[in-house]
Amino acid sequence: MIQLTDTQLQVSLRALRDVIAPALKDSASHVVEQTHLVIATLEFAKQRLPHTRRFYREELRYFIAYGLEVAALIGDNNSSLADDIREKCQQGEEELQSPEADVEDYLLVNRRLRELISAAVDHAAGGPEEAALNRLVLDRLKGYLPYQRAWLLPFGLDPSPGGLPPVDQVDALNIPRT
Amino acid sequence: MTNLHTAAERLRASDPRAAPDEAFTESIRRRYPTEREVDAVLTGKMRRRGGSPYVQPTLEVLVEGARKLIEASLGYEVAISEAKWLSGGASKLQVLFTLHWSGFEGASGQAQSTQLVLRTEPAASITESSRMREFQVLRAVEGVLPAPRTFWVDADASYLPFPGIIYEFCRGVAKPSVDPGKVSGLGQNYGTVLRPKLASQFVDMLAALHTIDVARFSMLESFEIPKVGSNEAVIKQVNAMRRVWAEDRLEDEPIMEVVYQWLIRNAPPIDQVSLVHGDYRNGNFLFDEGTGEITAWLDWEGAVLGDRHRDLTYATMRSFAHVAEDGKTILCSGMMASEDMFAAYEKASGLKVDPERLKYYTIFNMYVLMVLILGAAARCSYGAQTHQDVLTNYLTGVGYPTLAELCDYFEKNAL
Repeated sequence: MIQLTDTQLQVSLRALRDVIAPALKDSASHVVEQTHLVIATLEFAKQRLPHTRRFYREELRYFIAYGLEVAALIGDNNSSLADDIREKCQQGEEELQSPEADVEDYLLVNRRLRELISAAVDHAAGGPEEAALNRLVLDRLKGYLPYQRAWLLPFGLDPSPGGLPPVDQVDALNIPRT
Repeated sequence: MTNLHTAAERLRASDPRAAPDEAFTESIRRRYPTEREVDAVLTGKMRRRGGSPYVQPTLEVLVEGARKLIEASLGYEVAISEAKWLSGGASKLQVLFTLHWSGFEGASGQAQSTQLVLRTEPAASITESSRMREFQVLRAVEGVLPAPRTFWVDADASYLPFPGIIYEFCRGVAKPSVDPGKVSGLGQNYGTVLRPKLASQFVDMLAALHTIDVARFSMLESFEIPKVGSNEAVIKQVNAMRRVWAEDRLEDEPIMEVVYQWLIRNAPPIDQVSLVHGDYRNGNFLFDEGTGEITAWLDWEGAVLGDRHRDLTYATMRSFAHVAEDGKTILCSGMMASEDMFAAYEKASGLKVDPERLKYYTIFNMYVLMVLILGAAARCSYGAQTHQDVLTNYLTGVGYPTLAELCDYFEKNAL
């Protein structure tokens, strides 16, 4: 198959930048704005597409480690929810081992883990492990947020882009866990 | 894994919010009680979501709907000409048109032409809101600060495809010619000449809004009036946002639950009921670039009766600020440093700025932004529900930097 997705994005971007956007520069302002946003969006896709699989695998690994920490913390007081989290972590490991898994398969597990961790926060409110769990949630998010921010850098809206990890260098994409 | 669908289809099918059933919607309603009109709007959004894909109405359909709405109100035939799409805003459809009519007195009145704006909704918005509330609040602020004069409202979409209001066209620009490229006011720099002219009005108008005569609250029939000394209204406003998060998010961020619990537990009682704009910042007003006069405040859809600190902290959020020419001063909403803004506000309003409430509403407003950007905006784009999908998708780029801000602020002030 000769047609790479990257080529499709490349030709579309060239046409939009070099031909269509200049021709539309005197159009209604919302037309001009949306044209530039389309270019920015396709540019984002072009930059991030080659790294997508690696990124979402790393994200899932991070949430598995995070989920196991949460399960250990709440286990004594909420064993049912802790078991659900551990089961989902195990499913995540299986997806990571499966060569057939798609990015969306990683996301399915990751999103379920996110929901279960939020449910743990909800259930812990007012209880003995609330403070420790809230601290853990904040610490884990702070560890991962730089990668989320870096992923969206091509949109150009981050006020402090300096110091964010270089997501587009695949080998550097190694989210710290604990 | 199953081969029945593509992975993307499986992901979509696993999303309970993509086409929510009544039980899902009801469970969220019960869990997060809020104001009645807000509840009605959010419930309507959920019921629409599982329906047909959104197709943007044509200009002709909207003009026809507007004409019928106006004629039903006036009782005589009118004509509409020069209709065109109006840009601006990330959430609503707006059409500028000229109405040829004979005034409110009837068909025998003097023939006249008036430039008006139809403001209506797509199937979903980054800020889902009530056109009736927007209509009422615009009426309530008439003569208090510059805002479009309203004419008609189609609150239940009897004439238009979705609810809409018709108000006067206001002259002015939202972006200065020195910095025209900013989207939705984010980091808007007005430049050193315009800035001082705009800044004093920016503060004085906020003070005027917050000290509006309470007799005008009777015009706000779709709003619940908070009780002084109670935090019940604050909790309802937090719940409204928590509900949107529950309804719209594509994926959870557990910190949102942590912050929600804190907001409920620490909701301060209201010491004075103010009319709060809810989106008071750069990008949401028009001005005359020649004179530096603010000609109209727009985007009143998030207005509430509540605590003035909500507007004060919103206007001073980092997301809307930029660094001054000295390389260090953070100009809130492109106007002035936060401490200068609060001091000027106290002087103009006679109301105290309470540091503890500033902390609470700073966290509240960061939470609101997270809900709207990482929740509602992402959902709109994912579900192809608006005419601005490409913009709402792009705006998610400001979500994680703001979340980082929320984490830092929350850790220092609340954890």
